[in-house]
Amino acid sequence: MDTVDLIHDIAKGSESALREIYDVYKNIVFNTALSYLRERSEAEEITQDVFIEVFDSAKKFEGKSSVQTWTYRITVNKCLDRLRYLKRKKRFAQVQSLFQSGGTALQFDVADDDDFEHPGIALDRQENAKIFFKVLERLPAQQQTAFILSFIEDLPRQEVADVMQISLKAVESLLQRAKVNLRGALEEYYPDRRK
Amino acid sequence: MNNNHEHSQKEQWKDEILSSVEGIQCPEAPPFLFTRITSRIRTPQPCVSAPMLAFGVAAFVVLCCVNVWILADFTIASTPNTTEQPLQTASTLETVSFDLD
Repeated sequence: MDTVDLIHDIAKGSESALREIYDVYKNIVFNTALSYLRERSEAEEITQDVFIEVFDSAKKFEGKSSVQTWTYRITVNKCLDRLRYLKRKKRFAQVQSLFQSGGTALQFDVADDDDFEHPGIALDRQENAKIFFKVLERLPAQQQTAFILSFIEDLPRQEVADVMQISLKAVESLLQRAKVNLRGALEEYYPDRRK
Repeated sequence: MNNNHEHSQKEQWKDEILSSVEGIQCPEAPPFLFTRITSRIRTPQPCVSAPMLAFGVAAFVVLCCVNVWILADFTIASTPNTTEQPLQTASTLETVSFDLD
């Protein structure tokens, strides 16, 4: 059955249609969430949220874009919302720790997962990938999205533009800036590695 | 010469880092997720949680109070007070200009 037909069935409340859509897109949703959030449990949570959103919003699906593009768009929005929430939580934890410890020591509730190992990356590239994910999170949201969708999800540029609802030129420009920023951020990791 | 070599080494290293995620394998989503999704769909979630609602109402009340207070303050300040100083009459003004001459 066509994915658009499945969405129409989901709109009517069909859980079996949702199961089929889930089976088609679960891995790309999980992988995208993992690239943004760098934590398995967070990615699992986002995957659930995305398919619940698919179920709830199926009636609003107009078919202007493909189901895959639509699913990616929901995933990206959920991930960015979650990142914003985690940043807020981290900031709040910093302020809270100032009051609790009299300003001497800072304790964070949100873990800084610097040693994230992506399960889809070969062992010989894991060390490099760890550094990559450290610098990736420093990019502004739009650049991060363009980079993840283009190079990790390997989507064609036009689909990236469709997911982000921007022009093809804007995607190219975001990628250009993302590369410059990533190279700049990598500067500080280089000497440590050569010591 | 040495600097150039160092620079090209660094750029090469950056390229390696940036290409480390190319051709990444898509990891399998855990199998138990769909069961969780269906159970969450079957259990209707409250649209707004009670603390959120309380916070919203409190914020609205505070906003209203601040608005009323500012409006009241502004109204009092802009009302002309007729009892304070009488306006100068035309004759006094004439006298002043006459004195200057």
